[in-house]
Amino acid sequence: MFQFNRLLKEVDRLIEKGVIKDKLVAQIGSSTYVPQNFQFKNFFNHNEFNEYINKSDIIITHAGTGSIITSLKAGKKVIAVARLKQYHEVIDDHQLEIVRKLSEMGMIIGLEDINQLENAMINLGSITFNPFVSKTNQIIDLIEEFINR
Amino acid sequence: MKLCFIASSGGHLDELMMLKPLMRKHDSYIITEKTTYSIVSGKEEAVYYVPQIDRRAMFFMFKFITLICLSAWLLIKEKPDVIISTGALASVPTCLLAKLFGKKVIFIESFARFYSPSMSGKLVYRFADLFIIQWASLQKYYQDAVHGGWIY
Repeated sequence: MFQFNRLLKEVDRLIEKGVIKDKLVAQIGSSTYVPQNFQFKNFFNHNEFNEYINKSDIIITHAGTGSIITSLKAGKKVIAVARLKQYHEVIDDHQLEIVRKLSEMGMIIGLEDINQLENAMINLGSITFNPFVSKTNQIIDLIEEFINR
Repeated sequence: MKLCFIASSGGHLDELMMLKPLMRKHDSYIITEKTTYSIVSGKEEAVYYVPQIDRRAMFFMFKFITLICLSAWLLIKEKPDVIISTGALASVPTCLLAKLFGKKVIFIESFARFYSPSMSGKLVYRFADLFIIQWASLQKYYQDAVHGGWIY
């Protein structure tokens, strides 16, 4: 539904500039920009998606919680860039909240400005992230208790 | 006890699928939006797809009316006892209609909502039987909500 051409263009630029030297593959969703310097597909199926996440060391993603959490659970380093309403990338600016909160918790590098991606890539090696700890069982127990009343 | 699990596409669906252990334990079915990307294999539980809606897109009203009709039809067909929703707008007609039919409604506000409530959350909060927030910071907006912690 929504494009995120800004991120793709910047990644292309960083590869050209030599800031990103590693092999890169992308799922570009509904974006209309055609990447020049890396392999991409609009949508991976469930297996492909998980395979690519597992094979990777670094995940650069939009700040959707699904993408971020899947990557964190797989033990990967995550740089998340917020989609912004002003560029018609998302329905509202909720992704800004996500990047701020998860950065605050030290679990990801969260970016509100695409121009910060270059520095994030350069400094990534020297950052230690806080691990993600799952709490799913708590909510499941809560719901189970309620429906059994 | 039959459970209806409902969520819009994207993160909402990801969060809903974290409740798989609940789906396995009870007679369940899933409703979500039809998109090109889906993590639901549909092998274990029945999955129903409704049209993807965007409240700012053209023809929204037309799609929303279709959604209301579909939601009603699915409730009559499946007769769930409890609706469990992780948002967003696509789940609201099902939640409201189910409540009118005397069913229980559980709504889980999105993991992405730390500082401000979602629109669908604010709507369903008015009548949900159990409203769960994932972050304590939302308690001031949803006084009767239960802080359940992260769904992930």
